[in-house]
Amino acid sequence: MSLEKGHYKFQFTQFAWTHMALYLIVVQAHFVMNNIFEGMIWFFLPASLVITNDIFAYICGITFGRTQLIKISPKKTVEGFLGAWLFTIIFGFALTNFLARYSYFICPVNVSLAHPQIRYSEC
Amino acid sequence: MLASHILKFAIQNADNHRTSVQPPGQVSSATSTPSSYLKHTASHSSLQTGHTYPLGSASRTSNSLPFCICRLLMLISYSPMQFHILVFATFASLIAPFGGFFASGLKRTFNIKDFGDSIPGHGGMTDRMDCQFIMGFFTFVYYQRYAASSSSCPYCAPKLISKYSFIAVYKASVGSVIETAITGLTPEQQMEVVRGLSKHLVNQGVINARVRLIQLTSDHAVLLTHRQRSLNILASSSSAAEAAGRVEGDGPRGPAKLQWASQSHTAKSFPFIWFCIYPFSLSRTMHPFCSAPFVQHIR
Repeated sequence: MSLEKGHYKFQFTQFAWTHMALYLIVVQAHFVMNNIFEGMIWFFLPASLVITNDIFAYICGITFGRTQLIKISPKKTVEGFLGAWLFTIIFGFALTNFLARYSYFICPVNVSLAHPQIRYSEC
Repeated sequence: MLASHILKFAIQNADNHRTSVQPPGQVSSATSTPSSYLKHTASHSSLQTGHTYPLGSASRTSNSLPFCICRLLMLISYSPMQFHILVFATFASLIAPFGGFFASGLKRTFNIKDFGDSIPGHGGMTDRMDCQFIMGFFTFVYYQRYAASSSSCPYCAPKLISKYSFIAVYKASVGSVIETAITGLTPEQQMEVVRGLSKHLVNQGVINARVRLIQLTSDHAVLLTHRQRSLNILASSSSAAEAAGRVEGDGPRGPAKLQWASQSHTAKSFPFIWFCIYPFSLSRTMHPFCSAPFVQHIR
């Protein structure tokens, strides 16, 4: 083994970091990929919801942010938090109405056994 | 007061319009496929609201402005997915940020200001991505609740599964049906499937009875010859390329997919032989999991 006395802390820290990174990237990307296979909308919409939430949290926060939300990150406010919630709901509702009209977004990917290439078929 | 009258007028107009245009039989066909599940057009959804709030109820029950606004909001067409998205948006704004807080705590612990400098002004790529990861995971769980049990159990009825799932609708595809039959059924049962399916096709008038008979006999011959060959392979333990060549050679040929099915039985019965000869077969004509020469036979 390459474990050496005196370097245990460093080595196990590296070990933990590697596992955390692998977990974050590989496992979560697997879930995201499965979402894409169920239809592009299940990837695109959650991603855009998170981005919208960040943007509106920023906007609402600098517009009428007063109360601090959490000690760990001092720049976040309750007003930004709740305002982002409201705007994300409105935005998500509207964007779904738009995206659900296109079969490219809502149709699951078909991987056929006889024809192994990926196809976005009409469903 | 004037505004409420205007709204009431608009509502009644819309009510009249949609009840005259839409026949009421279209609702039941709307939820059969995923596309129509997501793609509810204005006619379907407004018809549903038309059922719950019949024509002219506004003028009878209330004249107040908020009530009329509510009624007007109900006229906007929506799809069922939009209500799922309300859950998604709530998660994205109330719970997913705690992934960011977690990241902030991590940064505090290890005294890192930013996770990276790829985007100036932001906390690096990771700060943006951790929310995305949590959101993707939530979407996955929300979309396919109980989907994992369906893939492990090929005998579950699709209806039974989709009853428990929030959104996922399980449709059969040719590939998935063949795969299920190959992996889960014995050759005899696969023949039963072929027989039943062809009987069904005859009854539907897709093929005539004579064609069906010929197909069945030739398929059965293919199945028997391949079983004999698999025994031969076991006896002589010949190389993989040789076996592939033999399978490809003479003999009656049924449909390619059924041939594949019968050969997969060969691989299942003698996995050790296959395991031994596969690394030494130079030409990669064998399918890694079912020992079928997959390129040639599947057209």
